[in-house]
Amino acid sequence: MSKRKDGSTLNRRGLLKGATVASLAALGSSQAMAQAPAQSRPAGPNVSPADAGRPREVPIVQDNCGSDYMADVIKSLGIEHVACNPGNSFRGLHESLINYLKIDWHTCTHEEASVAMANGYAKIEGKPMLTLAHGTVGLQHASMALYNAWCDRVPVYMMVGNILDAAKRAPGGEWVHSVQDAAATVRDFVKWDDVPGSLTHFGESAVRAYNIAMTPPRAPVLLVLDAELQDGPLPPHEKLTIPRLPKMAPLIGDPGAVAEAAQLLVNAANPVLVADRCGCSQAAIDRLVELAELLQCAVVDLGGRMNFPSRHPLNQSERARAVVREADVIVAFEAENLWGATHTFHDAVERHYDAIIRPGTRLVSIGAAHLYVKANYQDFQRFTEIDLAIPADAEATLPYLIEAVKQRVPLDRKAAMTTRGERLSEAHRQTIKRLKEDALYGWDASPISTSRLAAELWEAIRTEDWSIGAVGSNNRPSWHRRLWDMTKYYHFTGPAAGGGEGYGAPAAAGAALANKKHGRLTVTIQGDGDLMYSPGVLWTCAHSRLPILYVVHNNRGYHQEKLVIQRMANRRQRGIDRSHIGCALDDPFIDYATVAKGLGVASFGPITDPDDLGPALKKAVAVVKRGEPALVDVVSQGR
Amino acid sequence: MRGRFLLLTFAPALLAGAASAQAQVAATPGDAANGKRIYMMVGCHLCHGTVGQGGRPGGPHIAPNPLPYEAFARIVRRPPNTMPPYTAIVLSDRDLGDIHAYLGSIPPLPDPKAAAILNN
Repeated sequence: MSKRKDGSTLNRRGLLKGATVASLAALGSSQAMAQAPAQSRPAGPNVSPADAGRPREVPIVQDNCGSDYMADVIKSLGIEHVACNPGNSFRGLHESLINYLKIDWHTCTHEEASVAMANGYAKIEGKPMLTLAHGTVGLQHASMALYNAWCDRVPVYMMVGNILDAAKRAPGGEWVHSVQDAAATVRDFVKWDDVPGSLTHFGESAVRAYNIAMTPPRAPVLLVLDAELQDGPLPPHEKLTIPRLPKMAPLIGDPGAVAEAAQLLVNAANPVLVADRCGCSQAAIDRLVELAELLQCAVVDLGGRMNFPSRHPLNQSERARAVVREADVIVAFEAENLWGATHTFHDAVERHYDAIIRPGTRLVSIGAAHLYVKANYQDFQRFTEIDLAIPADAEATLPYLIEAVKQRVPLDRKAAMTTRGERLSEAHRQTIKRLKEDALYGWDASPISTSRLAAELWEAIRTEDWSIGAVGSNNRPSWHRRLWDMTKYYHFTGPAAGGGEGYGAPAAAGAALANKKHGRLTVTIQGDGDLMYSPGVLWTCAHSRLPILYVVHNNRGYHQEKLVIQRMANRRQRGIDRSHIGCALDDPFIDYATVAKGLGVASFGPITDPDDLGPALKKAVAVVKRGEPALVDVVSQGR
Repeated sequence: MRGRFLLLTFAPALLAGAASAQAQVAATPGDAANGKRIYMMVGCHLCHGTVGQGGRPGGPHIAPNPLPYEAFARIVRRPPNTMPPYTAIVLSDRDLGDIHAYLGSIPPLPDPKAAAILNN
């Protein structure tokens, strides 16, 4: 806000509301004189088009701005980082964040990358970072990554810029970068959005949005920021405060329902615990272990998060069908695709399915997804006939379920439970033995087998405090989940839940950002097709000095798509010698090591001889331990 | 090419019917080199890997020590699971026999001591 010579305050808004004749006369400038005829009339339709919207005195500096207040609010939420591709519709906030707040900034080369980075960060750190974009072109770029976060129940905190007032838009670019309702593009897959009309409104909505994003089921939120609100001075009569973020009580399941679930578990001959996105913290994993050990029952980890230690004797994920088939009670924790866990689906000429579970098996579902769902996108999965649905946060409910089970386990059942646990432990031992034998198949093959890739990478990092930052959209290849000793929640955070390619590389970068302050080494088994969606994030890793190892699972194509085309071609009996068309990344092969080098990342490969892989990984890990990114291009089998 | 020659030698038997044709193919050693080429061309490797090691997720390992030809051919022609069917229209009996010969030529698994890192 500028001070005028007469001592009154002058700002852009005040001027635009209409200047008085007296004040204009006081200016005494030739410009003011030239505009005198218009000043004798009230502002409105009678003002000549040549004068409309022109202030009498154009301020050239300002002492304060709305976006500084926005930065203060953002700081109050505990947000530490920004990932962003720049855009002038949020230039005011950009400037405030870098110069006023001096927030840690991560430049991205694509909005999809910045949102995916925020997704990967939140899954490790348990809270959002900020991501910014244009409300039009930027948000359209970002939409796929928002959808992945939505399907993954991850709190992404996003703000986009817009110029709502048509009279304030510069001709040309600012018009095509403006929109009536920016959030409409993504409203089906953000939990809440708003367009603040004042700074007070912004403060309240920013806090509300954060609260909504972090309340289970967690999900992305979006605020659309008008450029005038960011760029202009603080309004003189608006008393601004920073709203307080409430302490949120955990969403615990109804005590009666929890007791009923506990009784079902205790009475069951073969209870099974199924978890998908439950392991968002170490406490969640530890509690699931406690419950499983208390019951000595099977646990199936569906892999949306790291839910259960991979080498725990009760982990039966590799023989999920067998334990689900013999189950008489199944309790699911944040498992929205329970139908998929209890059925087999056959993609034949006529699609059909079979139930895995026996008739009479009781199903209990504890999860936040029961609390909130939208209609258009079908990520809520097929309806499952559940006996008892408990709308709640599974992690928060687990301690109460454990206590309820403890109270109900009769002494005469403990021996049977112990026997059950021993049987499951033996099955687990046999499974691990079989997996190690299976891993030997193709051990010396070139292209390198995915089991060899996972085994060599495990050998290179197993003594470090490591974290798999992200995996591709289909959680494939999955040997790491079979061979590695996973115990911590940050060891694995799941795939791109929306199945959108372009997630793995930037989400892993976000995870690396979160892991960096904890001194963890981040690795990712990076699909080649996924990497080509946003390879620019490698530059972000180099620029931001993110310690991360990308191991490219380079099967030279969109392998999943090759398989489905093969299925179609064989079904129609036309042969599949052409099914690579549209799915292969060859002729020429992509040299990912050279791509990475050009983006400032230390790189190794392409590795084709399996005996060269271990030494290359060792060198790459040394680079990452110095605090820099590295990439190893591994020419590998399809799966 | 030896296998191809033997197959042609028994051509009258092939005309007698599919079952007998399969039996005759099974009696031949097949052309492993051609089998490898066909194996890669028709996409067996997409699920089962280039040396039959299998994929996770994907198809099971099918080499070394493949199923006997009759059982192998029965599964390929009419899979009991989600595997795409390879009818005789898209994969001839001769080529199927050669693929089987290729799978039979794949060397045994390495000594587990050579993969000691799997124990870590």
